[in-house]
Amino acid sequence: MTRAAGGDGVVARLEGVVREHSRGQMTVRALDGVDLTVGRGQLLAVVGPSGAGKSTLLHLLGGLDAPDAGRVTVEGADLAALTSRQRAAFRRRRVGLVFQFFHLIPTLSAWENVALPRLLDEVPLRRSRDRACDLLAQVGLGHRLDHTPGELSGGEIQRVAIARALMPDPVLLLADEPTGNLDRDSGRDVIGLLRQAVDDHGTTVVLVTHDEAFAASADRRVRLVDGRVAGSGGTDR
Amino acid sequence: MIVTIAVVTALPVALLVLHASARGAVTRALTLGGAVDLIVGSPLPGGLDTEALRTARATEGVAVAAPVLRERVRVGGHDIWLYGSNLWLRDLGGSLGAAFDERFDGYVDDPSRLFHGVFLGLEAAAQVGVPVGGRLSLRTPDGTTTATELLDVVPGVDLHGERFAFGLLAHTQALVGRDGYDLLLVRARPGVGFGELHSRLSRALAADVVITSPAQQAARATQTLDGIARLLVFVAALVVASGMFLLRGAATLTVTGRLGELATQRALGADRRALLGRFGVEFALLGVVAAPLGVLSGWAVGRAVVADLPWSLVGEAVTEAPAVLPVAAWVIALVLGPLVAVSAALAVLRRALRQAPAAMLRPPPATGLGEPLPGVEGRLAAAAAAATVAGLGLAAGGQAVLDALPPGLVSVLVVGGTIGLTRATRGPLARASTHLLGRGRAAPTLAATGLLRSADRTWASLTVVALGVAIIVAVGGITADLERSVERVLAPVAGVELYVEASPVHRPATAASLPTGLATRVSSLPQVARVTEVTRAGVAAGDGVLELVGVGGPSAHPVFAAARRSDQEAVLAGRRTVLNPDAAALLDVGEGDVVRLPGLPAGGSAGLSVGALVSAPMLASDGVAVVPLDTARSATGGRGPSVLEVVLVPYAGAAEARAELAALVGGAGEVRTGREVLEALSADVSLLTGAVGAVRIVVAVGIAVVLFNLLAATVVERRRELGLLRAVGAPERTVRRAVVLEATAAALVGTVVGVAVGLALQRAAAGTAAELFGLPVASSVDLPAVLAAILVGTGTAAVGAWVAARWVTAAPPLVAVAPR
Repeated sequence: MTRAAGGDGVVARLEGVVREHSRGQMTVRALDGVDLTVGRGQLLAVVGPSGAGKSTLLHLLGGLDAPDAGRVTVEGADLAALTSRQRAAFRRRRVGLVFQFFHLIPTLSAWENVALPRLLDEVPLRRSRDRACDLLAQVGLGHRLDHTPGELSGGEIQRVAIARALMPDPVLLLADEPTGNLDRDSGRDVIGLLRQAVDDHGTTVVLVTHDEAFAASADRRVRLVDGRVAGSGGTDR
Repeated sequence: MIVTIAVVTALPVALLVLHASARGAVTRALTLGGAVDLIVGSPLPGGLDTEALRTARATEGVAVAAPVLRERVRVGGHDIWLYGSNLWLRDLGGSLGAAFDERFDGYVDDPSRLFHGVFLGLEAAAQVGVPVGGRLSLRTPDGTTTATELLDVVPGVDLHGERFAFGLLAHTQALVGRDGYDLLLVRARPGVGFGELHSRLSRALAADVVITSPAQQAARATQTLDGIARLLVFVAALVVASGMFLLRGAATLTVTGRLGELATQRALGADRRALLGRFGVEFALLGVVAAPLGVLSGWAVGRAVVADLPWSLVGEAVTEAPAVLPVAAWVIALVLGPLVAVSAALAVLRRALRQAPAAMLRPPPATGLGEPLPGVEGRLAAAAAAATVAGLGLAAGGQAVLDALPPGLVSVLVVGGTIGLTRATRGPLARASTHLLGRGRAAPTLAATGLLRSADRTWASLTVVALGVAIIVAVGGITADLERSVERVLAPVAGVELYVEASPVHRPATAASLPTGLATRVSSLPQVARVTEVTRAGVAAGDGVLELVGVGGPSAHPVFAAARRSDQEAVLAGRRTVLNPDAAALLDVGEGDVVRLPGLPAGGSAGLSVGALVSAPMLASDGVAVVPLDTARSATGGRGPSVLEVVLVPYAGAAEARAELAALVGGAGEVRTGREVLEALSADVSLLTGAVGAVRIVVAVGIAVVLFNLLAATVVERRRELGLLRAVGAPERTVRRAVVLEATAAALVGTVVGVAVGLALQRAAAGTAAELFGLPVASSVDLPAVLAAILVGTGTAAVGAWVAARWVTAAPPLVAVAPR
C-alpha cells in the first residue's frame, strides 16, 4: 500500500515556507520557499547535505520555531496562529521529538524521562509508570527502568528518547539525526524502532538523516539542497 | 565571580579603614596634646573664659597653659576643623607645636599679617585649591560666612589625614564670631606630677570645668577601638571564609559552563598544567578587576562606620576622625582578590581535569544520595561535622574556651564546620527539603527529583544560604544583645522621675555643687517620695582621673545600680566601695582589696574594701568609684551634692512637680527628667551600636547580592535542561515554578541550618561584645534578625531563581536542542 500525501491523509503541510537565521552580520536563508506535505502513517526521510535546512524544517513542524514567511499546518492547525501555551500543549500531546544529542533530563530516571510528557500534563508520575515501563520494554530497556541518563550508553539513551516520544501517542514523531551519534548496530536498532512505530502504531514519522541507507528504508524521501526541495521519491512497501 | 570577589574583599578593606582612621584619631589626640599633661575643658556650651586662662597661668606648677578654640567650618564645600591658638602653643612641644614654631617664625616680622590669616594643613590645602595668599571663604555651622587670607600650608604634621586650618586665637575668634575658647592645654613644670597639678588646678579653677588626662583618654580610646576592631575581625573572617565557599560555587559554574572547551583542548593535546596555568591567570585577572570594586565598597562601609563612631568619648582633644583609606587596603585587596579567585577556580578545575576528555563531554551522572562521599572527602566532612557539633556545644556551655580563641579563628572554624556538616548530611538535608514540596503535580515533582538527584547542587545551594543566614543572624543578634544589655544596665536611670543637677550627669564630673540643704527642701515637697543625694568629684589617680561618686541612698547611678545588693548595702553603711574595671586599673586593686582612695584629706578614711567590679556602658568618666556619701564629701571639702535623684509619690503629676522643683532650685541647677538623662547617657552607646548596626545592614545587603548572583547563575547554567523541558512541551509557568520551588526548598533547609549556626555564633561572640562594651552581654534570640535572615536567605533564593528562570524561559527552546 502506498500512503499517499493529500486529502484526509495529510498530517502536516508546509506552504511557501521561508526561514532565515542571523549569524553575526550575515543572514542565512535556511528554508527558501519550501512546499511539502507529510502523509499520515508514513515514514518520511528528509535527506540532504549539511546546512540544507533539514533540522530547521523539523523544528518548524514541531512548533519549536516559526517561519518568516509561509504556513506550517499540522492536522489543519496553523502553528503560527497558536499562542505560546497552545504550542507547548501541541508539543506535549501531538508531537514526539527525538534529537541527535540525547536530550534527556539528567536528574530523571529512564522511566521518569519517558513519563515526562504526561507529567507535564499534570498526570502524576506513578499513574504513567506502567505505560512508561511498557514502552521501555518495547525498545528493549525493560531492565534499565531506574537508571539515569548518566548511567546509560548512547544507544540506550536514544532508545529512551524514542520511548518518550511515543508516550503521548503522537500524530507526528520527529527525529533529528537520531543515529548521528551512534554506531552502526545501534543506529539500525533505532531506525527499526521508528519503523515499528509506523507499522504497529500508525504513527507518522519524519526522520532527518544523512545516512542514505537508513533513508532507503523510509516510505518516502525528500531531498533538501540550499533550503529548497530538490527532489522527492516514494517507496511502496 | 567579580561581584563575589568584590564582596569578599570589601569587609577586610572596611576593617582596615576603621583601624587606620581610629589609630589616626588616637595619634592625633597625642599630637595635638604634644607634651600636654592636662586638658581643661567645659561641659557647658560657650566653653572657657579668659579668667580660667589667667587663673591657670597663675597656678603654681603650671609651665604653659595654651587656649585652643575649635570650630567646624566649611571651606569650598569641604568640612575643615579650624583651630585658634596663640604662639604659646609652640612652648608645649609635640610635633604640631614644632611645626607651627617653624612656620610662625617667618611671620613674626609682620605680625599684622599673621593676625589676619590662617594656615592650612596639607590635606585641607589639597582639597580647597586656594593658593597661598588667596582668600578663603569660611562658613560656620550657624551659617555665618567670613573670609580670611591663606598664609601658608603646613606640611609634615602627622594628623592622619585630618583636614584642618590654624590661626591665632583672636583672629579665629573673630572669624567664627565667638569669644572664649574650648580647651586649655596645660604643661606642668619639671618635677610637678599629674596628681599634684590636677589637685591645684581643681582648687584654683571655677567649679564648672572638667580636667582630664590625655594619656588616660588615649588609652581608653585605644581600648574601645581595639574592641570594635576585634568585633569586625570576627565578622570579616566570617565573610571571607564564607566568601571562599561562595567563590567555589561561582567557579564551579564557570568551569562547568566551559567543560566542552576544556575537553576539546585536552583532546587536542593541551597539557593539564598549561590549562591550569592559563585558567589561573584568567581568574587572577578577574580578581584584579574585582579588587578595586572591593576597595571602593569597603571604603564606603568604612566611612559610614567611622562617621558613626562616638569620637566625643575618645577625648576632649580629639575631633571627629576623617576616614582614612590606607595603602595597605589596596595591597590587601589586590592580593586577596586574585588569591581567592585563583584558589577557588583551581580547586574546581583540578577536579574537572582529572577526568578523561570524553568523560568531560558526557552528561554528568546524577549523584545518588545513598552513595557515601569519597574516602578523604568523606572523612574530612565527618570531622568537620563533628567539630561543628562540638563547637555548638562549646558555644552553649563553654564560653571560656571560645573566649580564649582569636575571633577570626572562631569564624573560620564555624564556617568550615558548617560546610562539613552540610556535606556530611547532604542526603537527609536534601530529603528534608523535598518534604516541603507538594506531590503529584509537574513542578513539585521536577523540583523534588532535582533536589534528590543533583545532590551536589542541592548541597551547594543550601550551604551558601546557610552561611549567609548564619552571618546575618549572628551579626544582627550581637547588635541586639548589645542594645538590650545597655538598656538593662541603664534602666534604673529612667526609674528616677527627676534629676536636679549642678552639672550634667552624662558629662565628666565638675566641682559645681547644689546648695547644702536643698535636698531637705526638695524632700518636703508633697509630690516627692524620696530624694537621694549624689556627690561627684574628679580626683587624680596615677596618670588619670578617677570620679568619686558618693551616694546617700539607693542611687540610679549605673555602677551602683548594677552592683550586688550586699555591696550596695555595704557602700551605704560606709564600709565598701564599688569600682568599675577602669577605676580598678587606675588604682591597681582588685575585689576584696582594701583601697585608700585618692583625693581624701590626710588622716581621713582608713580605707574601704573593694566589692565586686561592676561594668557599666560608656560612662562619661573612665574610672568610677562609688563610695559612701560622707567619703565623697570629704574629697570635695564638704561642699553640697552634685545631683539630687528625685522619686515622686505615685500618681504625682511629673510636669507640675518639675515646674515646682525648678522654681525651688532657681539658678542653682538644672532639672531634667530621668528619660532625658537616659537619652543623653545612651546617645553615645547607640552611636556605637549604630556603627555595628551599619555593618549588619551592609553584611545583609552584600549577602543578598551574592546569593542572588550565585543562585541565579545556578539556574542560568541549567538553561539547556530547562529549554529541553520546554521543547517537550512544558509550559513556561511550569518550568519557572519547578525552578523556584527547588531553589526555595533548598534555601529553606539552608535557612534552618543557618539560623542554628548563627545563634551559636552569636553566643560565641557574646564574650567579645562584653569585652568591647565592658558590660555583661546576655545572649538571646533576636527575632527581627532571624526574620531578616529568613527573608534574605529564602527570599533571595526564590527571587533569584524566578528572575533567572524568566530569563531562561524567554529564550526559544531551540537553544536547548541546538548542538553545543
